[in-house]
Amino acid sequence: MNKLMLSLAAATALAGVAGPAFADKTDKLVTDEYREKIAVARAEPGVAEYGAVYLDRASDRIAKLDKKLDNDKSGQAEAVAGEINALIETARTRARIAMLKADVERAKAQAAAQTNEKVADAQATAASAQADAAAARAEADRLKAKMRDYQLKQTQFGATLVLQDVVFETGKADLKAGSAQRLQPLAQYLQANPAVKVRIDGHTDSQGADAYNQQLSQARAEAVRTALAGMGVASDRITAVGHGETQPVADNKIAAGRQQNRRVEVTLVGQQADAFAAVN
Amino acid sequence: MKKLLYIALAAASLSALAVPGAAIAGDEDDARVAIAAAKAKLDAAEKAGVGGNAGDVLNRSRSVLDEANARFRKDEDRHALVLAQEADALADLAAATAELRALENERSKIAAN
Repeated sequence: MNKLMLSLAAATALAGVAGPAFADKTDKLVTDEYREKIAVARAEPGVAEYGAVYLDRASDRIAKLDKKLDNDKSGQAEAVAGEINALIETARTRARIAMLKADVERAKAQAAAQTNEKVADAQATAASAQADAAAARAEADRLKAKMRDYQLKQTQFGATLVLQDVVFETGKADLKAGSAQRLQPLAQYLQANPAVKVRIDGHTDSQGADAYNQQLSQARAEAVRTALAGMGVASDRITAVGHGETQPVADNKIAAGRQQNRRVEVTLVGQQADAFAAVN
Repeated sequence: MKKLLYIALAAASLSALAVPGAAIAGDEDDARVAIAAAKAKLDAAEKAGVGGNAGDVLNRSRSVLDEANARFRKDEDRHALVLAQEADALADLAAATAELRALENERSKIAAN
């Protein structure tokens, strides 16, 4: 009886220990296939680095499964196929995410750099435009100041500048050297204000023949027009008229009066003299 | 001495019988925990608004989890555990797929601008 009990107990105990020897070979093959799949995935770019958590989970699952296979029935390996495949796929996806994130960051940085470059260009352009505008304003102010210096008078035709005969050679229609320079601010103003037309009226005193005086006044008016045209003012904006001695502004009997009468008047047609006088 | 040997062998045989019982109790707990974990991941993914291809994966995850619950109710704990772990892995895959799609969209937008 004792022998029988001893045999039964020993057989039962051995059965518990000997179980692993009956592991299902098909399941072993399946788990080996899983391991191979994991190894293949791990060798792919970035997967070992970014998908390690999932591949390790899969490996761990297979390791545990292997242990259980020794004690359990066959078919267990196939049962975890869905989980293993999902874990491997997740590992691959995580690797793609990591690489794509890096690519997106690069693209963002590139886009930001391009944007910054555009902004910098725009700022530079704006700054340049502002500088140009400031320079233009300064030039306009300078021009206005020079126009104010002309001390324009209001006449029936507009704002009038009077050039005394001292700007001409005696008895001639030629402008004296340096006198043309005095017309420079006027020419610049006319260039900046292309709608403004100019009327030039030449006058003489009463000495000499009328015909001569008429010719001289006309020639002097033409000389001023030529000078302005030479400074870039279109000739068709300028009307030159000689009046001879017919329109004196002072007494021709005295020298001072005759000097006042020998003149060329340059009129900015339709402009107000006050507008120039008020310029700061 | 012989008596002692009998007692030892008897204890060994009893323990061999007792181990499977303990394993079953552990499987039930493991299955319960795995189902809860998978459900938590699924809920999180749903809240995150996973859609498109990722939505398909999420649906598979949900379906597998439903099956895991069904098996668990039938006391098929080991099967339930395996299915819950699969549902869990699929929920991870759904979340990763959704993240990948979002990044791909972002990359396309950057390229378009």
